[in-house]
Amino acid sequence: MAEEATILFNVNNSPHVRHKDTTSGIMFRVCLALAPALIWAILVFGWRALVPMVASVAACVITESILMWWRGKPNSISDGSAIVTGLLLAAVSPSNLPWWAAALGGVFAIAIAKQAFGGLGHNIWNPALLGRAFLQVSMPDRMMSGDWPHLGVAGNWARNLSYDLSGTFAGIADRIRGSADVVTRATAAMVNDGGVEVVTGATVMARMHTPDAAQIVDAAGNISYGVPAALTPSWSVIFNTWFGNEGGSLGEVSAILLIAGGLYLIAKNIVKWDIPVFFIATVAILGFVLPHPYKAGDVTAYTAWFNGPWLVHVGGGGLMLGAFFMATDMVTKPLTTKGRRIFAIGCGCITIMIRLFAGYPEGVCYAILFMNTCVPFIDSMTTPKVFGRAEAVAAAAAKAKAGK
Amino acid sequence: MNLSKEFFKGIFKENPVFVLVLGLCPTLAVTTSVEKAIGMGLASTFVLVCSNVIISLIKKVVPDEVRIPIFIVVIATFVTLVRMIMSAYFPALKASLGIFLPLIVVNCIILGRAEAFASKSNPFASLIDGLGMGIGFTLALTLLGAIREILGSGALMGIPFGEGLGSYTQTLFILAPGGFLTLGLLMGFFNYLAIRKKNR
Repeated sequence: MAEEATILFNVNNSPHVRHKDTTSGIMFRVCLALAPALIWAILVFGWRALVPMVASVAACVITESILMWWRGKPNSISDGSAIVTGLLLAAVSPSNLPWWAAALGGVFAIAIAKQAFGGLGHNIWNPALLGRAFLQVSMPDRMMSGDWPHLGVAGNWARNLSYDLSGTFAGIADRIRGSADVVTRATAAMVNDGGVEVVTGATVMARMHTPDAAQIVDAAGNISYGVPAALTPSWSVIFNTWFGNEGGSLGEVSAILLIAGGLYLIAKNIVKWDIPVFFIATVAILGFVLPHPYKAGDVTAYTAWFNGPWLVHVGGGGLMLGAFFMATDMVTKPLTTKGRRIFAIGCGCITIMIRLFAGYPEGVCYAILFMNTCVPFIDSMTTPKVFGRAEAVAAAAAKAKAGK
Repeated sequence: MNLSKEFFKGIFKENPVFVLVLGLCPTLAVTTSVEKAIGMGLASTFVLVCSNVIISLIKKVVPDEVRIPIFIVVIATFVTLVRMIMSAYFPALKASLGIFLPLIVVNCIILGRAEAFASKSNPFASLIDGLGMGIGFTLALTLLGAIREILGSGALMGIPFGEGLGSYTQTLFILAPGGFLTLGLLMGFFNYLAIRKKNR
């Protein structure tokens, strides 16, 4: 009988209830959610899009293992966080980024943004975004000039893929060095089937960023300026933006596939719905409400209120990638529901401010990094009241007062 | 008093930039190239040595209540001297250092040494201390400047590396964030060395 009792009262330390989710499981699902957008990138940009992906993932994994070994910690590659950082960094890089630049971004993301702060769970900023910010500041011309999707030129994926594969060795080598032929979109349309390899052009966000207005001279010789076409996008531009037939970073082109991946993460309870929804809604509302600046001759003019191209603001640029995959990073988001909503609205406001009124055409990266910086303050502002605590303190104070 | 110890402490054990973390304003602002870093370091060294000696000589006659203004006046005198000499002989360097040359007056290394060392020590020890600290400061600035110039503008002492290596430059390093980053990493590296030396 006594022996049975010892089995019944098995004394153990907490935690007693364990969740079945593991870090590696979560990271694997994030990779899975990101996969459609990255496969789409290979389809529209060609095999060249694999170069930044492989380079940045390899750099992240190697840097992580070297630094963990140096710090005398168990190797943490198997938790998959370095792979996710590498994939996300590649997703926010242009597809024609040279391999060494992508690798440099990966090393920076892991060594400076993550391990220097103490590794997974201790970083203040999203490592992939800090890697991108580093590349953006260091090599602005390389980061700002993205390939134009091949689909927009020829409309034939199969041909593009086979073209990539059958290219001469010298041609492939040229591409890997990132020095392939660069022609403008207009020329590309003319030489459509003439063997154009890589086409670059301004992304939809860059075209919307303080565009030049066309001069209109009426019969009396008065000069006026119309609202630029870029600020009143046609449905075909909106369609291309949402479905991923626009220039841009390789992982951000298809809003629809990113939403699909994001919904999968929400369904698997890895991401809470509120950050993406509040972030995207803020951008949509402000993008619709605020007047957009454009250049009318020498002066800056503004479009009317309540008339913004909000569908392009939502579907274009890195918003979907940022809202579903970056702002929701478990380490760098606030802890409370209220805090997460403040965080997401702040991200949306800064994104739209940068897009409309600052020097860069796209602001998702810096908006998230800035709000990451504010997370400790948001957390301390939104700390929930401990139940019963305030009453206890008040009662103790009253007692002390009465005692006097 | 061990004079060689007073001299070498400024270079390694109490390096003004990496250990005392003083004078960060010029450290971050002028280390975008080796040339500016050396110019700044030598100008500060001159002011530091001269003001240390003078302050050490007048320490008995300075009333305690007004010592800081008097130290500042002494330091400002030598900074004015440096500025005049630089305008006469190195106008280009003076132009590139800009506002940070007159700002040596409020460099905390100089006031710090006056307050912590020169006002309590004899003139000769103060001279050695100023020399050690100044050389430590110059070496630190030169190291930072070299790293930032090589990585950020693909050149050293203003001489570019040329086409091949030049295309790999990282503009970040000559900007302000690159300055903080390089300083932080170097500080971490020297702390690491110090800890390893202590544990051995």
